[in-house]
Amino acid sequence: MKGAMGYLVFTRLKAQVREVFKRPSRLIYLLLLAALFGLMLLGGSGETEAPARDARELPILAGAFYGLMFVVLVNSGFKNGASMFSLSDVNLLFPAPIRPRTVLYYGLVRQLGTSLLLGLFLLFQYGWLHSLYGIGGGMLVLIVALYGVSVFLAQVVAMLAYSFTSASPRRRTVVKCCVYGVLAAFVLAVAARAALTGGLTLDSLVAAADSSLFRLMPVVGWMAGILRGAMAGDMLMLGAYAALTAVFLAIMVVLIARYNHDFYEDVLRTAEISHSAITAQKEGRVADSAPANVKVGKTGIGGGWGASAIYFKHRLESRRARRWLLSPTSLVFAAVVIAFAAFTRDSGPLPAFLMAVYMQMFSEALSRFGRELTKPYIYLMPENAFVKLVAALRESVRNGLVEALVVFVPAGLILALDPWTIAALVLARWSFTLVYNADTVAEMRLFGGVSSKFLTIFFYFLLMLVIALPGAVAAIVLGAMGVHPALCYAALAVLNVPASLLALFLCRNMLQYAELNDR
Amino acid sequence: MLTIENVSKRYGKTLANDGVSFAVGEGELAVLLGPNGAGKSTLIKCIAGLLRFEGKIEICGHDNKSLEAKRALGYIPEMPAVYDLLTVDEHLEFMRRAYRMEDDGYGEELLKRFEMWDKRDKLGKELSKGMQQKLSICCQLVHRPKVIIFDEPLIGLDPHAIKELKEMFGELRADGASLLISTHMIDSVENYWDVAHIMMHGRLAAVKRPDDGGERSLEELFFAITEGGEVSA
Repeated sequence: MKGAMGYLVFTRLKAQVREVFKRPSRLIYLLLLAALFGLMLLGGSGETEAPARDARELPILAGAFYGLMFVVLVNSGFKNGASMFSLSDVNLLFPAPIRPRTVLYYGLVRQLGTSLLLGLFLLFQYGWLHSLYGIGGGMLVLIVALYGVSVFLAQVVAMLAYSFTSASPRRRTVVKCCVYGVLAAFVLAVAARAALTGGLTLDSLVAAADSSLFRLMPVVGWMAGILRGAMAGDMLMLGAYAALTAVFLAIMVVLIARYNHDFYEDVLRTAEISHSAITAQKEGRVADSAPANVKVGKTGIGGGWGASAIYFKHRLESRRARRWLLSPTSLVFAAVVIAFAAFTRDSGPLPAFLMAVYMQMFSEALSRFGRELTKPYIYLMPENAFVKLVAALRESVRNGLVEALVVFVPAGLILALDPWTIAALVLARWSFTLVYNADTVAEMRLFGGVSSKFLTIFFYFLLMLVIALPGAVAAIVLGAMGVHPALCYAALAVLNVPASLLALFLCRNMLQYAELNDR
Repeated sequence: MLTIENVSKRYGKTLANDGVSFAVGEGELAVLLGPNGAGKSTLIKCIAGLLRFEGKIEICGHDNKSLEAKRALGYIPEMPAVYDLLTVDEHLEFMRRAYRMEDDGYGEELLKRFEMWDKRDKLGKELSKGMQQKLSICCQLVHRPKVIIFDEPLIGLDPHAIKELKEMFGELRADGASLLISTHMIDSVENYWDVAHIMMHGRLAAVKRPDDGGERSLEELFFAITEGGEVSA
């Protein structure tokens, strides 16, 4: 039966490689990514530049990021189990006369590969990591590998967490409290240590976290320890935390293999959920980011006649989707940008602004407007195409302003910016709401018939560059002339708005000619 | 009245529809049959105005992209299209508002017929797939369309809903609506069709009416075309 598993692994691998060469668009995309990464590596490989930030921050930053992923995955594991098998594995391997332990090892190997692949996006963070912390290519590979390992460990822990707690909600609560309690205790201990030594400033937090206390924190601290050891050339530290991680992993695997032979149930639910998500993506549907428990509240659309009913519907949906001022996803994105601003505060507002615009690309993809385009109703409504487009965009535009305020008021205060610069940053961030939406509309109007997902993404980026180019050029020129940053960001916003509106106007009949292409 | 003239649709190198022409008259129920990949769903989406195509499609004498055509059309997709965060009732309210119609009680009647009335305060995401399909049908019937196209409407429905929908097909036909039902399950449409169009490789391979005097049943003709390569259109 090992032959069967080996056959499956290698045949899958071969098919994936063959797929790349069979589809030229995918090959071009991969080559483009490789070229981009190469350029980034070459462009940022200057040895002479001194790191702009304290290098001790990086292991803590990386540890915090790994920790966030770890907590998210383990939390999901308590509810749904681990996600190391696909639905085809569940349907074909589980009922087959193969020893569950062999299937488990296959799942673990597969998960390790997936985890490492997931970490590849970190390769594209090289530019700022190099300029801020002076890291080289080798260190970047280590950061990616550690990300893969932490995701892998999270999946293993998730599987165990599910198998030990799925039968008893009380046990689940107890184990959850223990896991989060231990992690929270470490975080609080570090914060308390910082508060007692130098107050709750970023510098004292970094100093407190750069300690054995933080590195004792399960998984999160160990990963940070490996990275810190590698950066400092301290092989003993690196080896010690790597050994700790390996022992932890071995214990987890032995526990699963020895005491949890009947693990199929622990992975079934997540396999089904993943399959639904993949199918939805293939069909062009976007999974809603609605909270699991929605508070329905007052019922009724409450307004709108004809096309404007779309806007009132969006308002109602957003009210139910949000936990506070924004949806949970937007809040996470805002928190990431604010934290990023704190870490890059010596470099001014530009890194935080670029990060905010980059993250906005993902939040706009999940906007009500984006979701509306995946349902047939907006195309079927007997209303003027442009009026429908405006109605569908209204809520995104309004939300964009709220998001910009939530991100840049606190970020501006952290960066100690003057009110004019904060206002200009809010305006510029909001103007990108228009840019991204105009980009989506233009891409659908001009290239809606393109069935290749890779080409679609390529055209999306191309059009975004075209729309944002006038504003970006103006801001760069004004910046080079030494004009106040507030004016540079304001110029960007002022030019983004007409450029986006022009694109929207030119593509005003998009809903008339777009393709709801879910083949 | 639905008229399709020489409609072709290409996805890259694949010709999904190749010069398809037929019409569905008022009070007529047409079925669109064909194996998987025959081009039925593509044609249905072209009619609904969701895809670009070559050729001409008219709904009640208007170009299918016109507002008049959209007002007269009901389209029930294969995958139920519901909003996760709207209740069942709000779906129907949204459709009424979108189509500028006052509440005449028809939505309530539809929900009751499909046994959804007690679910009217449930969110879309809380419904099972079958219930979502029933809601999707209600949403597209509530504005009383004159031309209704169904893409595999019976999949996922419970026996009561199937019975109810089949009865509704008869009522809509009696009211003068033009119905086009796409399916690959022949036995699901037996006994209530006026004309059957069989598609194969993106083309119309045969047209059959119950009273055309042929010796072969619809099922026999279907298999002769799909398995034997026979073309009679």
